[in-house]
Amino acid sequence: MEDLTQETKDDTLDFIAEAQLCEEFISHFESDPVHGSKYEQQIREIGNGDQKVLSIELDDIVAFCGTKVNSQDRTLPQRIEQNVLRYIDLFSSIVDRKSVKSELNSLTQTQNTIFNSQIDENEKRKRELLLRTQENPDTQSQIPPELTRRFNLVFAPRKKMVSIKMRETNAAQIGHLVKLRGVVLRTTVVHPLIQVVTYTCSACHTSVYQAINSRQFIPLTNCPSPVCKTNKTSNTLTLLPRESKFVKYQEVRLQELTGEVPVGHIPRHLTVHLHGELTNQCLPGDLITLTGAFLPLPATGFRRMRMGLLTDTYILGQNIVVERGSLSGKDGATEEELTTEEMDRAIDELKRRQGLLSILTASIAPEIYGHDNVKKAMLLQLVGSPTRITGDGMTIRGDIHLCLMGDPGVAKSQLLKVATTLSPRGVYTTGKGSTGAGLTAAVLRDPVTNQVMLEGGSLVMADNGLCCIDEFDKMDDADKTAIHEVMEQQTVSIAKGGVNTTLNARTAILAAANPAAGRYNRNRTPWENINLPPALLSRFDLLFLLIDQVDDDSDRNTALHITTVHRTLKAPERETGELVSQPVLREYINRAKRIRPVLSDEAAARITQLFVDQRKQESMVQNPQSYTTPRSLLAIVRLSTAFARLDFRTVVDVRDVDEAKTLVDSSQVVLDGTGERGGDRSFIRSADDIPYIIRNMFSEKQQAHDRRQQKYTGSGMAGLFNRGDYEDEDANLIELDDVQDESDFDPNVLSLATVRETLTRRGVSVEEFTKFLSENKQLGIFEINEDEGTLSLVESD
Amino acid sequence: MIQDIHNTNVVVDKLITTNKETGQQKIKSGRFQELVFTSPQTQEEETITKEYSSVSTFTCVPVPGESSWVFESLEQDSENSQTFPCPNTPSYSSSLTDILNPPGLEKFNTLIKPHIPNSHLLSIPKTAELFSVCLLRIYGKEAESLRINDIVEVVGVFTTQSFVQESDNFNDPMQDWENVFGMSTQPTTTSSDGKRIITLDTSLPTVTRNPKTTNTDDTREPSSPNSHHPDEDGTLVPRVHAMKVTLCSSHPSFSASFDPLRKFNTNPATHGHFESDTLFDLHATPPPSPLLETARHTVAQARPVLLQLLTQCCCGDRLAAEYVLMFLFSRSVHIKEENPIGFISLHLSLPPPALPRSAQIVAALNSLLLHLLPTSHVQQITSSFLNSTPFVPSLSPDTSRLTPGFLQVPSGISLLFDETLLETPTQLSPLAQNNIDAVVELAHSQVVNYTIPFGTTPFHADTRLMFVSAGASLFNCASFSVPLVPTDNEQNSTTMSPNPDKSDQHGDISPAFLFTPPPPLTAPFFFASTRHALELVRLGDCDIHPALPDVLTDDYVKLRAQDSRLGARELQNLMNLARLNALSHGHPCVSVECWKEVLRLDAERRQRIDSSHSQQ
Repeated sequence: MEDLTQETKDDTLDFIAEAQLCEEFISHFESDPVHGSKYEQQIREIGNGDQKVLSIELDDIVAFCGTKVNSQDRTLPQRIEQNVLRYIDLFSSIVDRKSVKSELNSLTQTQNTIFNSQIDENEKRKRELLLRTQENPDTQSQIPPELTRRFNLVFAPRKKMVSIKMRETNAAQIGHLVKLRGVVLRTTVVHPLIQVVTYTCSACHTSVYQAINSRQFIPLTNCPSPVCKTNKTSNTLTLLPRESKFVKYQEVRLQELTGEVPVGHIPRHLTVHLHGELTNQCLPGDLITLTGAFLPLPATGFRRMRMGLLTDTYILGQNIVVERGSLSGKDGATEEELTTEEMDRAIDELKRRQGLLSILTASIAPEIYGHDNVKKAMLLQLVGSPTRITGDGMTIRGDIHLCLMGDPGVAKSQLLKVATTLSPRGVYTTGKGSTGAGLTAAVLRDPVTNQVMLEGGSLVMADNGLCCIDEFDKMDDADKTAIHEVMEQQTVSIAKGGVNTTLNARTAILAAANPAAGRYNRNRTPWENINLPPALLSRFDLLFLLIDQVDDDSDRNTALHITTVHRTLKAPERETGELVSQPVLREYINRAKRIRPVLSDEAAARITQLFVDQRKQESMVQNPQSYTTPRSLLAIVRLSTAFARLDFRTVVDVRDVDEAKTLVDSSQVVLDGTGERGGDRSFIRSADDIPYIIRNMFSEKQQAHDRRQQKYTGSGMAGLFNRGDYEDEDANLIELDDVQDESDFDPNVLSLATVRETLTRRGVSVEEFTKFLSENKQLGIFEINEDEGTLSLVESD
Repeated sequence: MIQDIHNTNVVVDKLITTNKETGQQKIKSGRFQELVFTSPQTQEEETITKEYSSVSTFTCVPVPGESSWVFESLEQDSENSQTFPCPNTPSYSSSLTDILNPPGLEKFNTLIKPHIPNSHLLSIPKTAELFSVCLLRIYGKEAESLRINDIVEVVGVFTTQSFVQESDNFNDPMQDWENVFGMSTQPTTTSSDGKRIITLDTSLPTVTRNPKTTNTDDTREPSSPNSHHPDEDGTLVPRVHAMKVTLCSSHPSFSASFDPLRKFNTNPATHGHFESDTLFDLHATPPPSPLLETARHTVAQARPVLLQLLTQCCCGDRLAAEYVLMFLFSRSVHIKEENPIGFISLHLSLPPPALPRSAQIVAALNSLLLHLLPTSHVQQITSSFLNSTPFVPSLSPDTSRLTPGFLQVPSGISLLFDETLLETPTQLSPLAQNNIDAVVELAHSQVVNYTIPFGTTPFHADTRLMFVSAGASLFNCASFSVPLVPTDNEQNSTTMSPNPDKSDQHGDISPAFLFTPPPPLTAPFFFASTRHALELVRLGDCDIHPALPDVLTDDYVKLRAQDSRLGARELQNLMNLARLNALSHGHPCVSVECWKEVLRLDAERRQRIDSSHSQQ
């Protein structure tokens, strides 16, 4: 294959020979000998009005020119890539000549079938123009070819054309065909762009045409015909919009991929102009691969004066491919790279390796020690299982939801961030929400158009991907409500601001949360530590507890690691011989996701048996540590299917079910093994129980507050709800004499003195309470106002 | 400081035309000027060669939080300047403020400053001085090595406007854009012997338009909704076309002592060619060994004096002074795939009895930091400030401009958050919550996540954070929280006040309070030598003694057995503190003694925290 990136010198280029070569290509290139000339066929379709875009593939030109003897002919693809606009004109004029005949034939047929009176005025006009052009070629110079052109000619890039980074576009590439990837930032509404203006002269009744090749034009006023020139008539031209030609036009703002932005820089933006059928192909937020001509955008008017010698640049779009990739672009998996032999070979080798699952598991975040089962679950989550749609239209989700709960500093957040990079469309967010749209969606008003618009939140943006939610326990109330729907129905329903719609959120959720008391309390049951509502908890297929345990060996490793980093100022080298690199792993996951395995009969029977046994076992225990529901059964199905996908099998067998059950059991072992004392509430008096006691106090106060409010609202005395209203209420909660200020009426605030007194009654010493206050400063469980001597719940806005 | 980087534009780099009749060649260039050439290409002229070049545009602002002594140092350097290698070129070793105020420009300043768009202003105010902004243009691809928040020294052609003097050439808006380029007579002359001479017009252009109307909106053409150009926001934003750019690894004020670290590129204009300018990437260049040795010696000698000063600032609290002293040497070193090391953030918790003196303490600390550090800033944290000021810079999708945030600061700056005036209870808006999260992220990992459309992009930072609050900090993210225990009496505290009678009155503290060091320490040379040495030592390397890892590991295992809450992050903080302790003693490596001393200090600090809670 010759090097197409070589510079070519077209100083001695013969224009006529070049045009002949292009015409020869159009007429004689055959991709398939049976169907004849590929492009002649398309031109006929254009003539019949069945096709509007003529896409000339540069690969075809490469193949065609490869057979040529003349060296200059062989470099035609390079010349096209270096001077795109010129060759668009050249090819268009060739196609114009060829299409006139077929178009005339088409019009003649139309005339035969439709009465003359019914022929549209525009068609009549066009037929006249075509006939004039055909009969008298001299008049063609007066009629811009764009007026009769019924197609949009674009060049499709070579498949092996390399994408460049947006910031690599420079002055040397002006006029060249460039290919780059980016995120669509903003798209304008599709506007009609005038291409040829038609006037008619009121004096001599001549039609005058003005071709527009720039962004602005000055309308003609004087008729250029000899008659009017002789008579010196002026202001006789009238613009005829129906006779003029407009094309669809859209401007798109493209943003550089964050994965391509060097450290210390911000992403760059580029303007893209799209014409014709290329418009409306992408939406804001889409990751696209764009091919187009890199051109200067000359400023006009005063702006030109301000710009001075500088000019902006833009890309005239030729080809757009919308990808379903990560917005960071870190997957780097362009179409070409996916089909490279190296990647195929690497994947094939990987499939043949022994202990594949262990290798893949170990390759996820190798810098984080341990957590093998968690990593295996993350791998299964990334692969997922296919979504099933039953005959009656019901959808059963295939995405696997995973929850990691544990002490601060056990690398939960790092695991989430790694998962984000491995997923083809990963979004990392916190429960508090990093954007105004929160986790779901928000209804906003566009500042420019003043129209109501929807802004998708993190879950919507992670559609068909993975959404990693850190600080899951600190979610807003609105999001907590909405996440139920997202996790099972995988949609987000919006009904506000006059907008009532449903958005897709087909995403797997990887959540990380802290225990209820900030740190895991070994003296409480796992369910008291987890402190998530059962409705939410049951939606997770797997729940892992990551507990920071004091262990001599791991502590020594930690200390050694830190001193090594300080000594060498670089990360310690890891054994990566067995591991799989991130691009290969990502590609492996991508390919595994395409498999759609089905349950074998044996596997289905095994799952049924497991479910029945588990339910029976739980019914025999008085206080079961887990609850098996139909959701648990579906979780086993999903995990088994994911195991089969990882092995590139189309049938889920019994081994997969067993592996899935083992994984579920491993997470249950952690849950069962941590509760050393169980949930004996009569035993409460340890310092570890302080947060629970305080939470109980808050909930009791809230209940009492609600009761009072309900009572006085019902009797029409809501406005009289003040200190005096406490007289007949629960005296144990707040004594009337204890009421010092308005904060005592707030159900979210407790006075420190009350808390201290209650705790003392429950057997907590003053020292333990002081220690708790010290810990609370670090963990931020409650908000303590030392000046006012109050304690309140931490609110997440 | 570079506040924003714009999209790269193209410019005609070289245009060679020949006269068909005489055969004389002319070379023209679009570099180093804003004006469109007024004389069009004549019929006799024929273009032979036309080359385009990239030009990068940067928005530059004065260095936020810059100490006043930096200007004095720069002036002194300018007087004794031998660093500029070109004798025929005017010498500048100045900050942006100096560049923006050359002699004869006074009449323009009145025009420029009132018209600076608000979007250019950084959030950190500068005392008694209005911020200025400047567009910096650098030709060639090498400019891409410059990053946001870099500090640069620039020598170049200064212009204030880009209007044409004769607008006749622009009657036809359909004119081909190429004709706008390349029409040049002004900067090029041809000598009698045919040899080309390139002269650059560095004189101030004559403004022919009415200055009162130049910035009004009616003179602006409605710009394309998706176009972006730096000139759109303000026509009279001054520009500097760089001919010489120096990237400062540290602060420019260290030019005198940092000569080995500073490299100047050659001036292409004086050599008569247009080769690309060369930038030397000085990011993370360590100071040379001889300088470092001297600096360590100076720091070791100055340590007792500094400690004494800091103890005074901390109301006689020696423990807090030790922590503040180590804080001065904090520097974040970012390591690939690892958490950054070498930095700490500090929280001084004032007890309720010390509250009336909190303003004094903050003012004294700030004053001392300003004397010692090149960039330092104190910010009073109030709920209105948190609720209204964005801390994180964000990239606007409409204009592609980076809207600055409070945390867009140069490397090495010290930010002192004064929370003593924070109202309780505080009603925080979502913006305030984001601001707090950003500060927490910065304190933990020295990263500011700039907001970009559809996501964020991380920017590594080297920002020293100190929080002073009454009781708990709102941010609650400092590496070390030290409850301040005043040991001096009110009488001693008067040594810090220029007006003792007034400062003793609770709640009636003069806002103009300034720290005044005791008489023996007021000698200028003390601060002059100490701050240079301090910065050098801070940037220098620090090794680990071979015996330390074993000792540290054993200590960590013991500590963790006693208290399971002591995790990897706490150990990392202690290790960082040991590193800073070694630097503050002028030691080239962290010894076991430094580590043990840090453990002792930390134990004392923890004991103090426990006792303060018991008292409550």
